[in-house]
Order: sequence, then C-alpha cells, then structure tokens
Amino acid sequence: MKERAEKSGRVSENIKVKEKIFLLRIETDEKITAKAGQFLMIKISSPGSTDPLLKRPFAVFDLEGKVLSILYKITGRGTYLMSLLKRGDRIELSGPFGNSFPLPERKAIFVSGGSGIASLNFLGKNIQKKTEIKLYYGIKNSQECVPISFLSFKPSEYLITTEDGSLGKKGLVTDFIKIENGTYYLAGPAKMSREFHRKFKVDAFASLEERMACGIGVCMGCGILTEHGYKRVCADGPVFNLSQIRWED
Amino acid sequence: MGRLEIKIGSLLLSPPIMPASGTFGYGDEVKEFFNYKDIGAIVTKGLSLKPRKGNKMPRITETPSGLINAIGLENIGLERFIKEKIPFYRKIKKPVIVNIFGESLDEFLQITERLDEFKEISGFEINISCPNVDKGGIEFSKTPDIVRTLIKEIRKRTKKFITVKISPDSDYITISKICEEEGTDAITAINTIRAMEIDIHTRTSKISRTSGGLSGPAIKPIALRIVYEISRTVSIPVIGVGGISSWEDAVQFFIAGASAVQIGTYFFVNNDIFNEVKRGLEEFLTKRRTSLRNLIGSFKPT
Repeated sequence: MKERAEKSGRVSENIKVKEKIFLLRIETDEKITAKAGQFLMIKISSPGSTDPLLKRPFAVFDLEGKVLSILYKITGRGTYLMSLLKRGDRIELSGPFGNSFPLPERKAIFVSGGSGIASLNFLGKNIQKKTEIKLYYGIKNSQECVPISFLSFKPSEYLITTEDGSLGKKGLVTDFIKIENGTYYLAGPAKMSREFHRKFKVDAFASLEERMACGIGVCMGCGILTEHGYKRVCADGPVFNLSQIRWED
Repeated sequence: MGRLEIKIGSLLLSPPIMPASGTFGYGDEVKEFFNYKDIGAIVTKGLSLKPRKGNKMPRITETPSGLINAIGLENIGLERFIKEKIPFYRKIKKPVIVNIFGESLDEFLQITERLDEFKEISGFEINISCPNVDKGGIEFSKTPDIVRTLIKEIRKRTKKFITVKISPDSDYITISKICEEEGTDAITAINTIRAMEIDIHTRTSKISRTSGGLSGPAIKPIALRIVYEISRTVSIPVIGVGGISSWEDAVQFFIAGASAVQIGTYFFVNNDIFNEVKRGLEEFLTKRRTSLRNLIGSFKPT
C-alpha cells in the first residue's frame, strides 16, 4: 500500500508569538515523518469549505511524533484566517512534499530572512548534536523577531538584523555576513538569496518561496528559472543549489 | 458492464472519472501516493511539438472558490514525452489521453501522426481552448472553418479516440456541431473561463499576463449549464469538466448529460478527491437502484 498524501489532525494550540507571528500546533491523526526543508500543504478553510480554496505551503518548524508545529506570519487573508483557528478545530493537510536540505560537512551557517527561520529551525534541531550552527537572522523590525530561546536549536553564535534598526544591527542580513568555511543554508524571500549570491558567489543551499497551487509538481504554477530552464519549487525544490538559479527581473 | 464503467468510442473508462488536463502533469509525478485505480484514464498536460517554456511568474492567483492561472502550456515537448513518459504508461495499464496543442495545423498533425504509433496512447484531447498563449489555443476557436479543417485532418490520421476541449468563451454550440460532423468521439467541456484580477497598489494584473483562465468551484454552475446545452445539441458523448469538488457535483454533471467527468483544480485541494467521487457515485447509484447509463442526461426540464 502506498502512503496517502492526505492527512488530518486537530489544532492543539495557535500561539501568538509576536504581533503578526503565530505558532500553530497540530496533533495529527497519524504519525507524520518529514525531513528538514520539506513542506506541508495546509487547508485553512474548514473541511468541505471551498474558500479559501487552495491549501497553503508551510515549512515544518518542528515535528515530534504526532505533534506538528508550523510557524507563520499573517501576510494575507489566508494566514489571517489561519490565526483564528482554535484548539480542537479539525484541519486537513497533505504532505510532506519537496526535497530536503543536504547535511553539512562541518559547521553550518544559517541565513534566515523573515519567515525563513521556520524551515531552518527544523534543520537546526536535527543537526545540532553533530554540528556547530551559526545564525544570521534578518527581519523587517523587532516585531517580527522570534526569540532565539523559542527556537528548537541553540546556535553557537547569532546575529540579528532589522531593516529599521529596532533590534540588532540596522540593515539587510546580507550586509553583515562574513564569509567563512562551512555549509551555507539560506531560507527567506528570493531577493535575499539573490543578494547573497550577487555579493558572495559562494555555494549555498537555498530554500525558496513561491506561490503554489498544487504543491505536488503537477500544475507548473511555481517555477524558478535555473540553468536547466524552469524547475518546480514544490517538486524539484524547495531547496536548490544557489549557483543553479538564473534570477529573472 | 460494471457499475462504474462507460465506453466512449473505443475508450473504456472505469470509472468514468479522469483528471483534467494541466492538473495532473503527465501522471507520473504523483506515483508515490496516487492510486491509479481511482481514475478511468490519465489526461496529460497540453503537449506541443517542441518544448515550451511557459509564461513568467506569477502564473497563478486565488479568487473566491477559484483559481486563475496563466501557465502558458509549459511542457517537455513531443520527443521527451515519448522517451520519458510512455515507458511509465506501459506500467500502469490505464488508458492515456494526450492533450495536444499546436500553434499551427501542421504542429497538431505531426504530434498526432507520431503518437498514433504508440499502443500506450489511447487517444487525444485536442486543445483549441487554452486562454494563456498568444498563438494557437483559443485563437483557433474564433474561426469555425479552421476548427473544421483541424479536426478533419486529425481524424484522417488516427483511428484512436478523439475529444475536443471546448472554451466557454467561444461559440461552443457551433464548434460542438462541427466536432460531431467531423467524427470526433466526444467533446470535453469546458476549459477555463477568461478572467482577471488587479493588484490595486500597482494597478497591474496579479499574474504575469493581463488575464488568465478561471477554474475551481466558482465556475461549476457555468460549466454545468454549458455541458447541459452541448449535450442537448449533439449526440456524441460530452465529458463534463469545471469546478467539480464533490461526488454530488459529479452526479449533477451526469444528470446534465455528461457521460464522464474530469476533475482538475480540486485535486490540488484534496489529493483523495478521485477516490471520494468514485465511492460517492457508486453508493448513490446503489441507493437509488439505478445505473450510470440511466443517470446520464436524466435532467427533468421545468
């Protein structure tokens, strides 16, 4: 028997971490196993409802047995409605889908932009026993900063940057990176990965974000231009080797 | 005949439920979790002679109970399709309908002739209704004489199953009659409806083209009405498609006159939808002590 992609569960908590940042905990009906970097498609509307229609892709923030955690920011109608979910609400989801982060050779250097911390958190948790992790954490302002103590891993060093200077260093996260030996992991908006590549030209694994309809590689809605033409962020990614990407204007 | 079995031309569909072109890739993408017994046939993404890169991002935007897309027929092209996908079709033992697309008559004919050689391919869905390309697609539908020539010439080149996918933004009644006269086995109705969404901050389209094609539950009542109209006009079978999200929706299409249905956008929402529709339809027929054949076209006009 094949393992079905469709899963279900119940909201166990939906915690407000910061003004627009929430942590959704779902107790799944069956145990889900996922690798760091993979994502799940979560239906925000109640079972049977068609608005919002599409599931939304979310990185696994943490996964322990039947307890799945998703860290998200309210960015539109879908995530706003998600923030209204209450303990006990039934929830439909599917996955996990997509590829995962390769393991680091020695030291791991995380470069996180915005909500990118969600997928890096699960990687950090999985590798911290064997690997030293340095974290560059860039957000717009202090209101978007998830406390370091909230993460499931302990970075050996970290640097917080905000665009308005309300916390940590003022500027873009890419303004403060000092290239060193190690494996680079990027997660965040495309413009962050693009800037990193333009500035440093070093190898890195980048987890990309794109609007998705299906999440399973059939609709061709989430393309990213690479040296081999368009690739699907959902099925060929979301983790890509940064050097393969051809940035479009 | 089994309860959920229907023959359309040379094509035996069991169950009479298929994915809609463009929402199921080439079919092999979902092999890790999908049970192919839940569908009567695979319907591929639109295939062209040469690979197509498709439109720029963003290609999709959500609307209330709907989805607007302008993918632009990104596909791997005929030769890679033959090399990479046909071996998979040999394994899964399901009929395969290839949705074919050309910018010119000649391109359609070359694809037909080449694929006609393969026993793994059961038939063709002729795409004259894609709203998201500059050449070909819906442009064909604007000139009924061109549609007639196209179908006539394709029919000459294959004895396999042929269905024509119709646009709701065309004179679909005239085109349906032409399809019947030129010997297609079925009509697939409907393709997406042309639609747009504007970003009020930039005053530009929310997708990379001005307009795209609307699909999803939002279009179901329109698709149902068009399927009803076409099935009353022609005597060849109609494959109903547009916004089906439950077995009840599928039953409505059969009552309206569809002989089979396709499910598209809702497969993104629920990867189990084919199984749920199959089981729901079967239970409905059992409870009502009726057959699929008796259900088809059983609408009672007021």
